[in-house]
Amino acid sequence: MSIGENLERYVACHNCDLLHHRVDLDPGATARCRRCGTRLYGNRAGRINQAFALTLASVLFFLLANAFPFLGVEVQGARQEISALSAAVSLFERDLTGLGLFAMAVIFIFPLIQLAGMLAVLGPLSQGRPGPMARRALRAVSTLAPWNMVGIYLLGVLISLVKISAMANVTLGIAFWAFVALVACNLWAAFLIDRDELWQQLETAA
Amino acid sequence: MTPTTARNAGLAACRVCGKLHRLAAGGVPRRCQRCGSAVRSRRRYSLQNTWALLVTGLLLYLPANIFPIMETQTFGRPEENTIISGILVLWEHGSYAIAVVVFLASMVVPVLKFLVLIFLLMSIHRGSPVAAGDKVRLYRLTEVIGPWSMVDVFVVALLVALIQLGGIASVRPGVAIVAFAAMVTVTMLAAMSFDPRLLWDKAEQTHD
Repeated sequence: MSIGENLERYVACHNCDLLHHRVDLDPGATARCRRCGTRLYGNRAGRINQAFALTLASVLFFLLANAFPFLGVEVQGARQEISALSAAVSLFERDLTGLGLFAMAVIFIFPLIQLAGMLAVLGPLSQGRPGPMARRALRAVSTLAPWNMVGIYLLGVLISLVKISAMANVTLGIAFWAFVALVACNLWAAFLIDRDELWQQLETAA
Repeated sequence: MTPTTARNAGLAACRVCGKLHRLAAGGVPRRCQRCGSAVRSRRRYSLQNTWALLVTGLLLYLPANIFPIMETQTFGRPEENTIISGILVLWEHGSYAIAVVVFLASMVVPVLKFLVLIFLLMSIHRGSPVAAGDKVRLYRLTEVIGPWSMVDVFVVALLVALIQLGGIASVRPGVAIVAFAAMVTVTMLAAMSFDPRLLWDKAEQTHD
């Protein structure tokens, strides 16, 4: 196979490195690696607007999740109320500074950067043009992706709730539901977006 | 017949955005023209980094299980729990579902990660009869479930924040929580430094 000048016409499988010609796909179709079956790219075009709307909703839920009471516990008249970040703050208070920073990062800081990044990418793209910071933003989003642990944190919250509700009254605040909605929107947006397509669009719309 | 991989064709794909580049002679990493990340044919020092991080993770897993991860005081009565004893307590109190979830996240997943990464590394050093495609799928599965082990750290931190009810009940984090969080982080980094394409490179080598 002799490779032509235009490398844009080829795709390498990120799992087995095999080279493929890039083909035009029907909407909804998926291109898979000839050798190992890994998904290479797809055609989910037209979902940019939906994904952008979801990202905006996610920002709203993120703000709500941090501005309102998250959970409340009551036992024999003694009451304790916490915010979404109280878990991280309580680690700081116990001199577990490193762990507290890590928790702040994966529950708050990185998800926030990812939301801002996706806005910077999807906003301009929904109007057919690449944003000025879009490439750096999408690169940051990709790098931070494995370190966004809001879903894992939510599971931790659910487990804690079940553990406590046996011995105490638990109240679920507005922030709790906003947090659930945030995780749901993140998941949904991830289904709608194909990162390879975003990169292609950023390049061709330039 | 040598399959045409990017590497065989003198190309390298950016691992962030996928754009193909011609490799410069001498293997000096280029900057991706599209996104600015470093472009290499294979992850640098993949095997060495993965081994080093894996061993570090194993060493951290010992104190994570030996030392207590949580200390509770109920009506003045103190109680310390390690990860394992915590799971047993959950089971004895009838919270079967949670005990299973915590067991999976804190014991099964880390051990599986260690075993899978060791197996993948050894299969590159020594070869193995398992098909490369299956090994890559195993790798990707390991990559995805790895972070979920962090759930126990969040549970402890949440309970510490929630259960501060004076003399009735209070919870404090144990030493093991730092070791455990560090172990999960380090094994995540170990999985990230492993390059699955090496598995196919090895398969091509052994067939020639």
